[in-house]
Amino acid sequence: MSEVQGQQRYQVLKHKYVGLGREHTTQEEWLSNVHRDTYHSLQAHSGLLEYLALAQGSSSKRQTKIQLIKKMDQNKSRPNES
Amino acid sequence: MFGENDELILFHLTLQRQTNYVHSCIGHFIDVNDDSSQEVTGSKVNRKRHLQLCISTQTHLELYDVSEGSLRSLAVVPLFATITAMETLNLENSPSSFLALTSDSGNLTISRFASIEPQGKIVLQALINQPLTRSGLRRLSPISHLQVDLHGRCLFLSAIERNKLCFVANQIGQDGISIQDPLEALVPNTLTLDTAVCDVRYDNPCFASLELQQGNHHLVFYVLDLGLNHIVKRASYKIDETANFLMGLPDLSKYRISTYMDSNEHHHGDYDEINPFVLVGFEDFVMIKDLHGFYNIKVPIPRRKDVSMPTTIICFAIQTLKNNFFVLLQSNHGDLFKLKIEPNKEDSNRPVAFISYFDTIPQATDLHIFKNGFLFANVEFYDNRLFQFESLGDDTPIEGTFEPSSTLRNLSLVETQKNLNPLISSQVTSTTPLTLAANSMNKTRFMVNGVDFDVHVSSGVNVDARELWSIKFPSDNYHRLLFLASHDLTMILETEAGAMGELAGEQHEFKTKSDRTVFVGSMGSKSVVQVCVNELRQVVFNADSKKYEKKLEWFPPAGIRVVAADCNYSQLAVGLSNGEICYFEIDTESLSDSLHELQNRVEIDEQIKGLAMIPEPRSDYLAVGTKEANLKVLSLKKNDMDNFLEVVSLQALMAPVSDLKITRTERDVELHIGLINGLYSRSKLNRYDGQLYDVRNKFLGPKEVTLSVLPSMSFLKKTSDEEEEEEEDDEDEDEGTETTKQHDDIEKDAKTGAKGPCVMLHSIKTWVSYEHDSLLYIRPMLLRHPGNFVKMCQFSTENLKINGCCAIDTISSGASLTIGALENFVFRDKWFQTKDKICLPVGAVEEDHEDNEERIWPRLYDGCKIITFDDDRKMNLFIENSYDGNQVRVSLARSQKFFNSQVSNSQFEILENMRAITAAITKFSSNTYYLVVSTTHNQLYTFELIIRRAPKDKSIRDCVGEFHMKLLHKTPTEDKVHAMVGFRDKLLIPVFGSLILYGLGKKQLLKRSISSTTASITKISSLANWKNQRIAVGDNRESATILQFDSTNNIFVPIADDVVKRHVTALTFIDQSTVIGGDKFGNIWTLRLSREQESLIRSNFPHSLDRLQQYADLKNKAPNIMACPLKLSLINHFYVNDIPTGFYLAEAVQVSDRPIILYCGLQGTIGSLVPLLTKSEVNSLRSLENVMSDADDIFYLEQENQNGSSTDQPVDEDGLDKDVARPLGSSSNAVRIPEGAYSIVGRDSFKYRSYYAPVRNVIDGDLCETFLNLSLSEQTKLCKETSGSNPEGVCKQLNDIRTNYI
Repeated sequence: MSEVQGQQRYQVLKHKYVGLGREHTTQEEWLSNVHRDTYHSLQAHSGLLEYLALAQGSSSKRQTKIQLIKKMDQNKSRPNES
Repeated sequence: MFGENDELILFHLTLQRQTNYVHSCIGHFIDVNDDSSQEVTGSKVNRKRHLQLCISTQTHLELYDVSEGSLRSLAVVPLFATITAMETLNLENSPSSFLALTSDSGNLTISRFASIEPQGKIVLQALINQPLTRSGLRRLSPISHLQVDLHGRCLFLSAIERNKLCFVANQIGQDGISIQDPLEALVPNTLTLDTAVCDVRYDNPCFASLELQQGNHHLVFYVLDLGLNHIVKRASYKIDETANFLMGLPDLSKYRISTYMDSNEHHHGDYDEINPFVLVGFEDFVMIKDLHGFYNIKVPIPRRKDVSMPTTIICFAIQTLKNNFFVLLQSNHGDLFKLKIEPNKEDSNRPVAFISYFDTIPQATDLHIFKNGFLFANVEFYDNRLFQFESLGDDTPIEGTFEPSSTLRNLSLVETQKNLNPLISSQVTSTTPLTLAANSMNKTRFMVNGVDFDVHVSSGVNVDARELWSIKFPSDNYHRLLFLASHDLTMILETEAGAMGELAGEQHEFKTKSDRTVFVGSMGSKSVVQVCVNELRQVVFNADSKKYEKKLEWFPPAGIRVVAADCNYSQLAVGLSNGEICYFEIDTESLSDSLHELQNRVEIDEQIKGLAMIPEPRSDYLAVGTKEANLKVLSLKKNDMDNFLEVVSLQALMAPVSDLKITRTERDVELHIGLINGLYSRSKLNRYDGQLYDVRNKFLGPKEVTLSVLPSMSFLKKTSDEEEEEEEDDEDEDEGTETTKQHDDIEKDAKTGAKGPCVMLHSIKTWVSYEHDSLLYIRPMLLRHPGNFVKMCQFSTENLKINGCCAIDTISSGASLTIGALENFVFRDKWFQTKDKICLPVGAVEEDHEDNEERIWPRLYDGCKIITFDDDRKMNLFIENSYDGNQVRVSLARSQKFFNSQVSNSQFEILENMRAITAAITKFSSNTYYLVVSTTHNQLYTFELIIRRAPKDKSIRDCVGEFHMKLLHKTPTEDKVHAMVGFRDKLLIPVFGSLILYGLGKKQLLKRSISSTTASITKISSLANWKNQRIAVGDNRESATILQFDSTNNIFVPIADDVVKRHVTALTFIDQSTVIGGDKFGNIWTLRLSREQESLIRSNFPHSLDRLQQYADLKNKAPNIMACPLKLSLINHFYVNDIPTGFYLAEAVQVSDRPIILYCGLQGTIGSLVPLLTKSEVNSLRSLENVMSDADDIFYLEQENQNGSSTDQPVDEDGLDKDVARPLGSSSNAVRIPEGAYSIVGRDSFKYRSYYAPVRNVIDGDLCETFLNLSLSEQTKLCKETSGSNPEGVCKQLNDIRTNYI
C-alpha cells in the first residue's frame, strides 16, 4: 500500500471513528480527544455527574452537565485536521 | 477467615436499588383497572389520559400509576445496562404507550409493559432491539438524547457529538410496531446540548436541537420529510453563547396566535404549514424562537433577591387547557415560573409572553403534569414528590427581583417518594434487625429491615398470662372473645361494640380457675372448645340468652394430663401425657355442633409436644411433634379408613419440638415447627399424600421458639395514617358499597398474594414468617418500645379491621396485653422500610409527623459523617454541614432516639463558621470521648463529648439523655484532612503523603509520630484500622496501601501496595491481609496479601523487611513503583454502577452464621456481599449466573430453531409453542422476541459487570434473582441448560440466601 493510499484509508477510517490516531497524530489532537472523552464520560455516568455536582456545590446537576458538554468544545483545535 | 483456598467468592446482592432517577416519562403503559366495573365509555376516556409514570435510574426502571392521586407502584424492572435515555412512544391507534429506551448496549429498544397471568405481574417486554452503535457510553453514540414525535411517527436520536439519527416508526396491527432503517444527519465537530420535539400536528415531523460548534451556539431545526423519506436541516440560527436549555412549545396557531410575520404575505411557500416554536433558555433570560426565524421574543427570568449567580432554566412542564396553555419552568434555584404566551391583540395577534412566579420546590430533573391535576417532580437530590395543583397562580408578571415564598403557594404536597440519593454519610447501627442510618436532606433516615408492630392500646392485666387465644365464629366479622391463660388461671375478655371487658362469671361456663388452659378454639357454627390440663369443655353460645352454655365435659383418664390440642371447624385432637391422642369430630350434617369421640385412641411412643391440623373445614392430616425430635403426620382421610390415624410421613428434627402450627394458603399447606434449641423450621405438606417437602430452617437465637399464627394478614399495609384516611373515606360512602369494596379488596389481595397467613416466632426476639410472591421471609418484628411478645393472636375489631393483633408482653413486671397491627412488611423489592427522624432547624416547631404539608424545607443540611462509638454500636453521632457551608450541626442518637442538647433547647448543637470534611471520635488515653472535626480551613477542632444518659425510667420515654460538646482547642494542619481514624490511644491524621499520630495536649493536639508513606501517595481519601496493628490507606488516585505499625520505632512501615491506580472513595479491612474498597467509577474490589507473604512479614517485621522485596530486580530499576516490598493481589472485582461511599463488615446480620459486607453508594444503593463458603454453593450459583447471562441467546436460538423447523405451520396451533417458545408474552399469537429480549436492551450482563475491568470472583445475585421473575416454563428451560438443577431448588437456594444471611 502506497503512502497516499494509506493516507486516504486513514482519513476514511478517521471520518468514521473520530478518535482514531496514528504515528503522526499530534499531542494536541490526542489530548483533545482524551479531554472530550473524559468530559463526556463525566456527564454521561449519573454517579460521576452527581459526584461532581456535589463536590462543586453546583445548584443543579443539569448546570454541571451543560458546563461539561461546553467544555468538550473548549479546546478549539480541530482534531480532524491532522 | 475464608477457608484454605485463597480465593474469596462473594455473592453480590443489591438490597436497595439506587434512587438517582435521571429519566422519567408519562403515558398510559398498561391497563391496570380493566377489571373494575366502570362502563366501557368511561374506561375509554381513561385510556387516552396519560396517568402512568415511568421513572428510571441508570440501572432500573419503575412504573407507577397516578390515576388515584398517589404513586401506586406497578412494576420494578432491573436492567443490567446503563440507560441513557427513555421516552414514551404513543402510536395514534394503539391503546397503550410504548417505551423507547437507549442504553449502553448500543441499541434502541422499543418495549411495552404487559401483565403476565396468573398473578397479573407486570413485566417489561422488548419488542424491537435495533442496534445503533458500539456498546458503551461514547460521545459519538447516538444514545444521549432521544425525542419522539408527538404522534409517534418517528424517533429522533442524537449523540453528544456529531451523530444524529431518525427512525420512522410504523404500526403493525393492533399492538405491534416496526421501525424503518435510520436516516442519518452527521455534522462533524458539533456538540449537542439539548434536543426538543416541535409540535407541528400532522405536518412533517420537526425537531430542534441546541448545538455548539467551535464556540458558536446554534439553534438548528431538523425536519423529516415523510414523503421523500429523508431528514433535512431546515434552519439554523446563531444564538447567544449562554444558551443551555431547549424545549418545544405547543402549536401556537391553535391558540389564535399569529405565527407568521404578516398574515397577508406568504412566506416560504406553503402558508398552511405550521410554524413551530421553541423556547431557548439562556442565563437570566429565555427566548422564544420559531422555525422561520420571524420571532425572537426575549423574556427575562425573574431574579431571586440577593442571588448573584446567573439564573438558568433546568426543566419544564407544559399544561395545555382548552383554549390556552402555560408552561412551568424551573430555575436552577428551584423556583417555578409560569410562562404564558398569548396573542397580542394590538399587534395583529402576534405572540407575546409573560412570566410570573408560581412556587418553589426542590430542583428537578423532570416535571410532569398529569391530566388529573397532579404534578410529579423528579427531583435531582433526595425525595421525589407528587404535588396537587391547588390553584393556577396569579398571572402578575414579575419585573426585576422577587422573593421566593417559603411555603407552597399553588401546590400542595400529596406524596413523597423517599429516596436516599445522594447517600454521602451512612452507618450500620444494628445488625438484628439490620438497620442503617443515613443523613438525608435535613433529617436522619433509618433504613430498617423488619416488620412494624404498631401499638394501638397497651394495658397491664392482672393474670400472669402466658397464652392467648382469640375466638371468632364463622358468621362473625370480628373477634368476640379473648382468652388469656396463666399457669392456673384463665381470663376471658369480651368485645362488644368496640369496647372490651371481662366476661362476667354468670355469662359463661368456661373453666377459669385452678387449671391451666392448654388450648381454646372455635368449632362448628357457635361452639368454643376449651382444653385444660385436666378437663375438656365444649361451650355453646346461646344467642337467645347471650350466654355461653356448657354442652360437653370430657376428662382424661385419671393421672393423665392433656398436653396439647388443636382443632379446626369439625375436628379436634387432644394429646395426652401418656402419648395417646384422642380424636373428636363434629357431626357437620346435623348442625347441632355435637362432638363425638373416636373410640380407639392412637398411641405414640413418644412424648407429645404439639399437635396441628390444617385450618380448613376438614383436615386430612394431623401433625404431631414430639419431644424425641420427630414430626409425624397422621392421616385423617375419611375415605381411607385402613390408614386412619396411621403415620404417613415423618420428619426427623434437630431438637425436641417446642411448638407446632399449620397454616394454609391458596396453594400450599405449610407446617411450622419451633424447636427448643432456637431453630425454626418450615416445610410444606403435600395435600395428597401427606409428604413433607421444601424444608427451610432458620436459627433465631439460643432460646426455644414458640409460634403464634395470624391466619390472615394483608402484606401491603403501610403506616397507619394512610389507613385511617382510607377508612374515613369508606365511612363516607354508602355502607353497602363499603362492604362490597372491602370484599373486592380482600379478594384482589388474596389473588395477588398480598394477603396470607403470618407466623410469629417468639424466641429472644419476635420474628415474622410470611410468604409473598412464593418467597419466604423471616424478618424481625420491630417494636417502638422495649419489650418482647411471648404470644400473639389475630384480633380484628371495628376499629382495627386490617392486620389487627393481640399480644402478651411479659418483659416488665407482670404481663401486659397489647393490641396493635402489623404493618410495613418488607419484600425483595423493598428490603428496607424508611423511618425519618427529623431534626428541624432552629426556630422551627418540631412536629411528630413526617412532612409538613404546607412547607417543603429547602436543602439546609447535607450529611457529612455518621460515627458509631466503638463500645456501643447503637450510639451514633451525626455530623451535617449546612448547605451554605458555614455551619456544622451535630446530633447524637441511641437506637434511633435523639439526645437533647444541654445548652440549646433542641436535639442538636450548631458549630458556627466552619464546614466539616470529616470527623472522628477517639478516647485518646482517657475515659472521655473526644470528637475531632476537620474543617475546610485546615483546622482540627477538638471537642470533649459530655454524654449523660437518662435513667431507664419509662415515664420519660422519649428522652434518652443529654449531650454537650465542649470545645477544647483548635489545631492547625498543613493540609485539608479528608480521613481520620483512631489508632491505639492516638488519632491518625494524614497530611499530604505522611501519616501523623496526634495525641491530646493542653493547648492543641500534639504530634507524637510522623511516618512517611510511599512517594506517590499525595491525597489520602480513606483510612482503615485493623486491630491497632495495621492500617490501610486509600489514596485519591493511588489505590490502597497497607502499612504496619512498628511499635519500637513508633512509625508506620509500608508493606504492600497495589499495581493499579484506583481512585479510592472508601475502604475497610475484612481481615488482617484483605481490604475491600470502592473507587469513584463504581467498582468494588478486594485486595489481598497472600498467605505466604503474610507469614514472611510476620517473621521478618520490622527489621529485615527490606530484604523481602517481591521483585528484587525491579526495585533498582524503578524504585518509585517498588516503594513497598510487596504487592497486593486482586481477589474480587465488580462493577456496581454507583460510587461506594462506605463499607461495613457486619457480623451476624439477622442472627446469621457468617459476616457479610454491606456497602452504601452515592446514588442511594445499599448492597451486600455475602461470602460463599462451600464449593457446591459456589458452583450452583455460578452456573445459575451463567445461564441467566446466556438467557438472551438461549431463548433466541430456540425461537430461531423452532421457526426454522416449522416454517409453514401456523405457530398458534403448535401446542408446545405457548409453553416453550413464547414464554414472554401473554398474547396468544406468537410475537417474535427480538434478540436480547431477556436483558430487555440486549446487553450482556457479564460485560456490564465488567465495565472497567473483568468481573472477578463475584457472583451477581441481582442477575440470579431475575430467575424468580421468569415463568415456570422459562425456568424449566433454563434449568435444563444447567445440569442437575430444578426450578424449585434454584428458587429455594436464592430464597435461603435472603432469609439466612441478610
